[in-house]
Amino acid sequence: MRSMTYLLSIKNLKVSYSNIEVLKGINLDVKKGEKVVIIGPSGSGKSTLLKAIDGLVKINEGEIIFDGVKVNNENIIKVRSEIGFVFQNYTLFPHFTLLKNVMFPLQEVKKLSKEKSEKIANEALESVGLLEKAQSYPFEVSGGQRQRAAIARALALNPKLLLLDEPTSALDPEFVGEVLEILEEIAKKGITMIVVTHEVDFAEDVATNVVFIDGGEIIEMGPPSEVLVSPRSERLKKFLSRIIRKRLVYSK
Amino acid sequence: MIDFSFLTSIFPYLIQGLVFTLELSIFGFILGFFLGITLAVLRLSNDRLLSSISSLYIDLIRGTPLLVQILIIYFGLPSLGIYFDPITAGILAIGLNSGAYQAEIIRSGIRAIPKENIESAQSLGLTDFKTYRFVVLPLAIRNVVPALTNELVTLVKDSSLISVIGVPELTRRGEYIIAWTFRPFEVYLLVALIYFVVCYFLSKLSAKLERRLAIPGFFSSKE
Ligand SMILES: Nc1ncnc2c1ncn2[C@@H]1O[C@H](COP(=O)(O)OP(=O)(O)OP(=O)(O)O)[C@@H](O)[C@H]1O
Ligand SMILES: [Mg+2]
Repeated sequence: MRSMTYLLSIKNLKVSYSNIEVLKGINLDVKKGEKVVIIGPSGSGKSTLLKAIDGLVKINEGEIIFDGVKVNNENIIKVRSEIGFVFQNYTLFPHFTLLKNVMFPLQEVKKLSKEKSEKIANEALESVGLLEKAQSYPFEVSGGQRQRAAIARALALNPKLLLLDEPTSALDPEFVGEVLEILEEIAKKGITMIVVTHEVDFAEDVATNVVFIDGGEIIEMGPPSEVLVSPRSERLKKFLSRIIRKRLVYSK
Repeated sequence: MIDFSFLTSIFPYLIQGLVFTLELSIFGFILGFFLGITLAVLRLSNDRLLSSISSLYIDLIRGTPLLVQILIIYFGLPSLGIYFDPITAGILAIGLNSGAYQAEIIRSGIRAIPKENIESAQSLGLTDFKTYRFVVLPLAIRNVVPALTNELVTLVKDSSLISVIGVPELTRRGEYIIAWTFRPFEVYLLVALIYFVVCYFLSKLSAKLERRLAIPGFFSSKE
């Protein structure tokens, strides 16, 4: 049972959108506690990969084994309840307060009592410094606070795996730091996570593995000290020089 | 030329008709609302068969006159052994008709929801039913409050067609009075005025409802 040693094992995963193949046979294993950072150009299939892991897109071929079990239509609801997902934007429900956003899945998915859910939700919001915003609605707080609350909601459910799809790229630059800080903090606590991000510093500090995707394929994969420092393929070299140049422009 | 004492004398009788008008349009609207939600969800479902049944229903209803639908339900169905009293037939006709229009309104409201909101609900491990109940429909309906109240206003006006099957609603009562008094101009004007006041009032209410249901902070953050 080789797959038992991995929390997540993706085998020959292929996904198409109306006949256009956007993931062309992805193989990826993630051990418990690992932090995988995915990088790659726009349209390379990064978001599609995260969605496929959470059963949000139809898989054409291949399989996903999560926590020792092959993911299928029957167990997908349970699998989803064990995987946290934070999107670039609109993760929170805009018609619920931050508190209700965090409480709601505890009540409706974990079936906890209202009192218990409220207690956990308040603790989760406190851990990201948002207790005093508990009664605000998502669009009444800053983008950075929204993302922190989304992270709090995911963590309150005590997930085995946390997926984050460009959690800082929709933010005004002044809010990026506070979100990355929280992600670094939770990374230290041992949670397994897969993050799509172009924040190279974050990848260097946090990632156990960096995966470079281009054209729906994994081109390079390895520890950040290899992939980010001495890229082998032309494509990755080009990609890295582009994002690093961008960073230099921004920091001026 | 207009005799006010005459108008005052027929006013209470017409207002009793307005009660039927409101009953037909409000119950018809509610029936249409639940039918509309069902049709919209089926139409967007991945099940090809259910989705095409829903489309077919919507196309058939929208492609035929309400008056003919009313006549089929009240005069046509009895030949299949199905009888309704005029008010039930009226509510049914309006509800079945409005359901098709409300389905299209609600569907457009669903399509305006950011995809991530829906994916995020699913990703929490919510069932499809709970995703719709707590996230998709509340957001979709907020998106289309003005279109839905507009539909209610339309129903108040269209319910005058129910007069053809003998429900003593506002228009029908106007016709009775005219048959007795031969004063069509004043009577129809007063009938029109009553419809207008009701519809005006409803659109004002709509603006209130819209403000009340608005997503907090959503518009100010965009400005
Ligand atoms: N729902 C969809 N229907 C059709 N095509 C889609 C859909 N979603 C994504 N695609 C296409 O699939 C490809 C991969 O998209 P994906 O969103 O996974 O890329 P990405 O790497 O996340 O890009 P970005 O950095 O811009 O977020 C793109 O070419 C995109 O246009
Ligand atoms: Mg993406």
